[in-house]
Amino acid sequence: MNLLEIENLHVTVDGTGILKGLDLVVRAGEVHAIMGPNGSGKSTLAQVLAGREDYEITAGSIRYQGEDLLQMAPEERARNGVFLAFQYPIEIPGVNNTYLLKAALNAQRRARGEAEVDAFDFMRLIKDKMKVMQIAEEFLHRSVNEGFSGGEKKRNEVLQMLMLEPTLAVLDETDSGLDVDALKLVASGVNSLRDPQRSMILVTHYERLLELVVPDVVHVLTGGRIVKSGDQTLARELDARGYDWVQREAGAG
Amino acid sequence: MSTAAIRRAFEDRGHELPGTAQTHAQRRRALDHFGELGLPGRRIEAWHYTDLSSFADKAFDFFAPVPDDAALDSAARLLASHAPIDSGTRIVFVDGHRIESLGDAKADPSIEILPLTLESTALADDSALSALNTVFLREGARVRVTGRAQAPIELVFVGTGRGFAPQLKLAIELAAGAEATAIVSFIDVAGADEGWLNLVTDLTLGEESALTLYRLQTHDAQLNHTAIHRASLSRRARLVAAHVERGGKLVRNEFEIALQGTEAEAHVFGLALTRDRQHCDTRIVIDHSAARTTSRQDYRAIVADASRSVFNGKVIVRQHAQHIDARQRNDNLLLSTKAEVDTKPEFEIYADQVVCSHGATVGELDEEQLFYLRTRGIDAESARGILTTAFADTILERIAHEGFRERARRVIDDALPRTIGIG
Repeated sequence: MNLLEIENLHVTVDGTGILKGLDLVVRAGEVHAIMGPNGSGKSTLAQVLAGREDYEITAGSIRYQGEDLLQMAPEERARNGVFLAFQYPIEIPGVNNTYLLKAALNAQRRARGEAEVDAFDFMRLIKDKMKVMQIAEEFLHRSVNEGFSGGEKKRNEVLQMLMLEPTLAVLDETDSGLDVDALKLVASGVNSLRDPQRSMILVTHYERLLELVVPDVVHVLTGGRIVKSGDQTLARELDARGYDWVQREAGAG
Repeated sequence: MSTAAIRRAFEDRGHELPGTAQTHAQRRRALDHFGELGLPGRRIEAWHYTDLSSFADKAFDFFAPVPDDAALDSAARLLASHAPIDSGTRIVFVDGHRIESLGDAKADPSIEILPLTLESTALADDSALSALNTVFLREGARVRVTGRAQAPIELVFVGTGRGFAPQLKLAIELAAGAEATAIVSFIDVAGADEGWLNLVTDLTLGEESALTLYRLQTHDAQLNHTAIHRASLSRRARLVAAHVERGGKLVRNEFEIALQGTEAEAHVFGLALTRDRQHCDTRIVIDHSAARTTSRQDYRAIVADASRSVFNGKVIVRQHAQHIDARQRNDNLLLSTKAEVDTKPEFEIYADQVVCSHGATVGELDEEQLFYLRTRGIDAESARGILTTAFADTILERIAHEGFRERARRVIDDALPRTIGIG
């Protein structure tokens, strides 16, 4: 079953065309990696999937679980199982991490017609997941991402993902700026979520994450379009040779 | 009321005010002084953004009668929904008159509560509003603290919504080494007539004493409110003044704090939430005249609808006051394109060994933060609420007294849904 179908997507940011006819199909249970040089539109795609409103969709469609994703507000998408791990997680002073996670979880549960999470169950769940991500207990009392190091912010994004158990997870360069140990943590968090019902899109610059989270499909996004797709060997080739040859090939084709 | 009308009111009924011939003469001198100054407004630097000249067209009654049974009943009903915040002595004023039957006196050997009369207060009628206060002052409260107070002293000012303009005074005096907390709150029965409460508060802190002054202003929309807090701090005295402003029509709140003894410290922080056409002006002046004194100002305003918030924070460091640490912050959250914020920091520094900083921001809710919350499943309105609450919490969480903090938080939380347009 196709979880996500993107067809001929054109997106303009501040009057500049960024995505120029992007096609992508992700089936349930698949992990897709999207690689590409800076400025190719990878982050724009991630933000558009999450529902960013100041990016203009000028053509194309996105269907998620058979429905028109572009008609849904960001919060509806989230409640329907779409999750974006931000490239630059936002700091929110004065909003406590525990509060945010609980509000997010309950918003999702209410949308599914379920009762709010029991306070005791919630604490047990969050403490389990914090252990997986090796996040210290004091984190519970801190403001969202405030004063976090780059690596802590990325781990926090993955923690949120583990708590919310999305159906479609989009990780926007969650691996950049991480040391080897943090990268392993993030990868094990991501791998723990792999499931036949769950799909993931890993937006990344580097092949090293893909050694730890082996993708089903690797795409090269350049010039606002996916110009080449393959398996993990494509990622290795890109790592060794760069993007020029793909761009040349695409240009020639 | 014009100055002439105010003078006429005094000539007609001034004899009803308490005091001796001497105090009467004192009132008359204050009236002359007020006559020279007039209602404060734009022509005065310290009143650049707030103008009381419009008061000239309004009919305020400076001679609120002693409340009758009906007034006391409505005050008692209102008080029933404003439970005491702590277990200490509670003093209640209704339309400017102290009503002992509505208060609650608790025995505490370290606190003495005395009636306040003109004779018992030091005079400093430098400003028009403090002069006016002297002219019509009927009563007030004088709190003397000689030791460590067991519980906060609560002072509640109740208005019955009948257009009165009580002139009130509080004096809180801490002996050397004394410690106390005072909680001052303002509530009104909703009324049709425009009123005006003018309050002067004198705070005297002896050596190594510590005073925490909390203020919760939830006036009815018909109430104008002007308050002057004057504090003098001796060596190693510590003042914490936290105020939460949520009501009123035109509100002007002044703090003039003199750090006169070495190592004295003043922390003034406040939160205002203004709506509709409210106008709320806070002015803080901290005068460092002794060495190694410290001051902190942190004021936040949430400004909605067509309301206006003004902040003027001033720090003076005198020439011989070395090793001063003075910091000031003012952050404003605009919730409407019709709302207005005026913020003005001022520094007069005559010493050279000074650590001084200030910062001011005026902005709307952060779009990136809103989007982040929405991508976590939180709807746009709730996200706005969460961020606005977080903005307020930065001040509220610094209130040390739990009971007051929770009361203040409730006052803000209750007002927020309508303020951000989700009520």
